[in-house]
Amino acid sequence: MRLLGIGLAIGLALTVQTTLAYLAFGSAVTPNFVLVVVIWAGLTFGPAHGMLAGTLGGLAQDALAGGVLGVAGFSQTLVGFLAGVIGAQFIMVHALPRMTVIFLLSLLHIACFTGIYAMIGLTRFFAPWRPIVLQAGLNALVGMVIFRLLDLVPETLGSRGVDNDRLRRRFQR
Amino acid sequence: MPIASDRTQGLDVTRHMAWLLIVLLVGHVILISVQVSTRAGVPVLETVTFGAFAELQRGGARLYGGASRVWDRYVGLRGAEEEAGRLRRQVDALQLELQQERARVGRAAELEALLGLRQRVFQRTLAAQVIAGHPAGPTRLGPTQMAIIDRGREDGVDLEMAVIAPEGVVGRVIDPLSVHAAKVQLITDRNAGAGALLTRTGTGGVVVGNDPDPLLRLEYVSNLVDVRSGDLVVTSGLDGIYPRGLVIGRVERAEKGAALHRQIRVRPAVDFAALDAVLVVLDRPRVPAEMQTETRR
Repeated sequence: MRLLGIGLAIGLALTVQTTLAYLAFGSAVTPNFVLVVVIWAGLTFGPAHGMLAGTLGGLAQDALAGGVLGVAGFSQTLVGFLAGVIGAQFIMVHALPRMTVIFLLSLLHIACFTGIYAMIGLTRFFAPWRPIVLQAGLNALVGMVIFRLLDLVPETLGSRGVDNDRLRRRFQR
Repeated sequence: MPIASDRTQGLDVTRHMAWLLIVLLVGHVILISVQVSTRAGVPVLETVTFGAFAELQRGGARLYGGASRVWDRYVGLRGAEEEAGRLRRQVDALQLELQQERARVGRAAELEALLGLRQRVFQRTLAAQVIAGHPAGPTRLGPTQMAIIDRGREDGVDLEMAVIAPEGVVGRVIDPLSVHAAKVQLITDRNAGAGALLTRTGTGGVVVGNDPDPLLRLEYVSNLVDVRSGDLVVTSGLDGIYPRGLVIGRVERAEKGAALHRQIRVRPAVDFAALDAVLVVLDRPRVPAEMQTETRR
């Protein structure tokens, strides 16, 4: 059920990414909705779900973008895993920690993505910091909205969301 | 549930997570490698796989070579003395022959100098050992008739270099080229070819592989030319790969073709089933620019 929910969320994010984001932002820097959903899956459900979400979302983005299949898959799998590890170690229910994690993992994703392309010799390593930081910031802002929306439907997606029982159990240990 | 048990379970889950992460990341790397090519145009996956397996094959060949050396030197010495005597007599005869040949070469060099001919004999070669054959085995099911040798880029081997055996032409070096291993396309491969000459008549043609038939085809020899069974076929040196004068094989049969050219079959001089030590010719033959594309395939 959780995987189905993640799959649906990624499908929706891809649709938004490819259509609405393009119409709204044009050729300007756009937030990476799929990456945000991957981070959400990792933080909410743990490393395994984060990894699978990253693989699914990354490969789908690669396939749709027409680039080398596996580059975004690799970086988003890593990001999903790290999000899961962070989600398992820290309580990530407040806005600021979530935004910080999304921001930092977005930077990691961009570094990994461009790094792999540079390694295989298809592009040179080019890191214009302004658009990168802008995209990471946009991801963090969009992430807050998406996380709030996804937290509203925890039963449908099997999300742990802001699960008071879970928090209570954690504090009781 | 006791705390210790809970921790153990947690550790187990973490180990599973790590394995899952490794599997997924390696999967992505393989996926990327399949799509990305090296500068030579060969997929990275093929190059890496070839390099890795070449090292395994080298190890296997060394192991086999060591075992057979032990057998030959220490176990299978029966009749060695008799053979040594026979070889000594043969060496004496060959030394005499060598002196005569040296005298002939000296005279030929003087004549070449007189005629202003360029020296076409190749100079530098590199000894190599065949460490593996075609992965599909000797059944000729594979797409390429090939062998793998234990010399590569670091040893001075480059693409399109000729590979020869004491009996004659073996083939040429093709992609992918590893650091200490190289793939050799045998002359019997259906995509292989070499500029050729019939020594008796001096007629030129192109020898091509005829896989799965072990006999080679000699093409572009006119129906008007006299070709006989047993005629020696050597390289012409015009393909830019094989130096002139290397033995390719002997004519097995020659029939008149329906069109302008004869249908000639050539039996290779090299026994490809028993290929062991080979030489890589490091010097390429000098070919006039206008002739380079004529016979090269």
